[in-house]
Amino acid sequence: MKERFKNLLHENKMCYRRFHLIRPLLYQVKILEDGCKGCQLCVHVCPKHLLKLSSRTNERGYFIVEWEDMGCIGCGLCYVICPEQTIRIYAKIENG
Amino acid sequence: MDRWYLTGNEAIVEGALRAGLNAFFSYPITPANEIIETFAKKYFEDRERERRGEKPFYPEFKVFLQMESEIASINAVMGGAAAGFRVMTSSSSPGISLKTEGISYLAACELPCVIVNIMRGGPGLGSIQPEQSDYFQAVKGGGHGDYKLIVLAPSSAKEMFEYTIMLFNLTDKYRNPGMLLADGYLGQMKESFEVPDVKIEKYEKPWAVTGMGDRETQNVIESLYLIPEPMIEAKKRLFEKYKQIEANEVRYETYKADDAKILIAAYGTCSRVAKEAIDIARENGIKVGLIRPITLWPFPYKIFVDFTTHQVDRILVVEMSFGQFVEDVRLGVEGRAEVKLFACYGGILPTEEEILKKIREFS
Amino acid sequence: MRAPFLIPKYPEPETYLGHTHYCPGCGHGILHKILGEVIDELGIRKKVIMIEPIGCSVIALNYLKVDGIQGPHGRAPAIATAIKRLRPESIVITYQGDGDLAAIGTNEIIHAANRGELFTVIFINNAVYGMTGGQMAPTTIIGQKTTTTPTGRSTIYSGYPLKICELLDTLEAPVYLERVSLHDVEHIFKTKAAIRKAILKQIEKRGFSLVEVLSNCPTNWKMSPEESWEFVKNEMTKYFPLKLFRDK
Repeated sequence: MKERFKNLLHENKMCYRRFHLIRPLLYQVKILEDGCKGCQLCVHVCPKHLLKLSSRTNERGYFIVEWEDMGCIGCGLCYVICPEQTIRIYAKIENG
Repeated sequence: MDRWYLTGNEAIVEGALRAGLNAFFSYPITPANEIIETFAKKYFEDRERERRGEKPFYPEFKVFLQMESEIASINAVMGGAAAGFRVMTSSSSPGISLKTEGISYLAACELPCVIVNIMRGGPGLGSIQPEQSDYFQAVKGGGHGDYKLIVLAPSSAKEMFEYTIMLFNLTDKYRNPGMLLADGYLGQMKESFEVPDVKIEKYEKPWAVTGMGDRETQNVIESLYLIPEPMIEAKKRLFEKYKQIEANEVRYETYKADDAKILIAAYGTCSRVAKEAIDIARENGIKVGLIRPITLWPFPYKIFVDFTTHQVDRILVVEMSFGQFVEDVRLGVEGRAEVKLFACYGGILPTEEEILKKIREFS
Repeated sequence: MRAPFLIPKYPEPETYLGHTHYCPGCGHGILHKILGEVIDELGIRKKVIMIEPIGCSVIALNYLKVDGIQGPHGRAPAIATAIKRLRPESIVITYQGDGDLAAIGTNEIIHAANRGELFTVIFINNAVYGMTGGQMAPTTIIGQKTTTTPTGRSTIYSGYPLKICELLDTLEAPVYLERVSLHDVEHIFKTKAAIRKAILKQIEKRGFSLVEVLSNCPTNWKMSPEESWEFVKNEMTKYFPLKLFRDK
């Protein structure tokens, strides 16, 4: 069931947009750490101030940005502005 | 067998169309104007035929464009060659100087194409009279970096036709740009000749930039290497290729040289005059012969070595510049024979009497 | 409690794969990303041929997975002319910087635009020569300090900034000319729409299209990424107004 749903989403890319119009309330943001360069454009653009520069560095030596799970509205502004395409946004559906 | 009566420039056009030329990009310059004008005539005649619903004469000749400069022409040739088509451009000495950056890129990216140089007087704006003073530019460089062009030097309208087709075959086979080195006399002189039967070879181009289509990997034509190791690999690959061409594609012609004690070395128009002079000299008892290199690169050093080891001890070099081709002859001879230069420049062709006088002085 | 089920909001990109050498916060990354998204959405990745400039994005084809060729400085429109005329079914996109297009390549771009060639030009303008260390460009604004104008660009020595969209607007043949910017998310969306329209003009065989994108150079402007986008928004748009010049 999960696999069929995933295939359906993958084949019809517009499903992503239509599904998210239902506005599920919980979102998760993942930052692919080895791509982040710490430019902080996402930090400045987030309307809920959930992103900040951490004190960790990645393999390339940049200080990377980390995300705090405190009421993300899934607006996607961080995804749009990141030059390295290291941000991934997911709708979170809790199980159990 | 057909017989044609054409100028050298028109013969180049016929040769290119026979070889299946796909695109021609150029800019007008004297003395190569007839090439671009003949191509334009044939291209638009074919478009008229298509408009009337008839089949075009040259269905493979898809694109003709007069570009805004010589530089734009050589870059358009680069685009066409990268896309996997047979492309050509034509110019004269000042225009070839403009193209040398593009020629260096073409050689580095290993793109096949044909560049026609109808030489005229130089340096600078020079004159519109013929000369042979672009030898260094064609054979020894011109553009920056370590590269070589395959250079062929015709000496008649028939050879302009034949060598154009040969150059398309050679450049596609080895993935290297090539140059046809003629001069203003050959371009403008009208001759009748029997059309030779030249084999047209076609080669596959899996490296061409066509849009990924069914391929999984991208084809990128690049010549930038930011770190030394890939640059060394790329240059080694180029040099292996050049060694292969030097081993297999040397071409030259000898004329009455088997029992000669003096040799004349000349290429292009000068070799035709030299042949006449040799006939007259032989009638007067002087044993003289001719070596005519057909490929200026790869240069036929070995034939000079062979002749000067046992047989010949004097070589007279006849060329229309103040001494460029003579340096390669000296390299081939390596001091085994005496080399003298008869330089004729400014647009004046050497006559048979003048060459005969020099032979008599030398013998 | 089992792990939550995650549904991605955006499809995984196919053309642009990130992991670049560009400086942090550079507009090239954002523009590559948008170009990749437009190519993915239109489904034309297998038909695109891209011509890289000389400049910071000289190895753009390492990050954008399409066929392409790296041409000499400024000559991309001549290369694109040949490729598009010989392979009319491919989508030809040239990606050029301000030195490439407005300095050495003015001859090629004006004549290609004048002939109405059917390719798309993406002109990214950041008012300096980035790769070579921040020298003056034709589009450097008056008073801007660069390494070859250490006291600020003055009109007496170096003339005025060149406005390419306005220049090409005097020609008959181009069908789509727009100037956009990347300084905030609203304008990034507008840039994406402009690039999409420009590529559709090529697919529909209408004519020559050019999109000028104002971008930043935090390293050579000696600013942080955030400050550099403020500079683009406040100072560059005074000389280079964002507008749609032509949409035939």
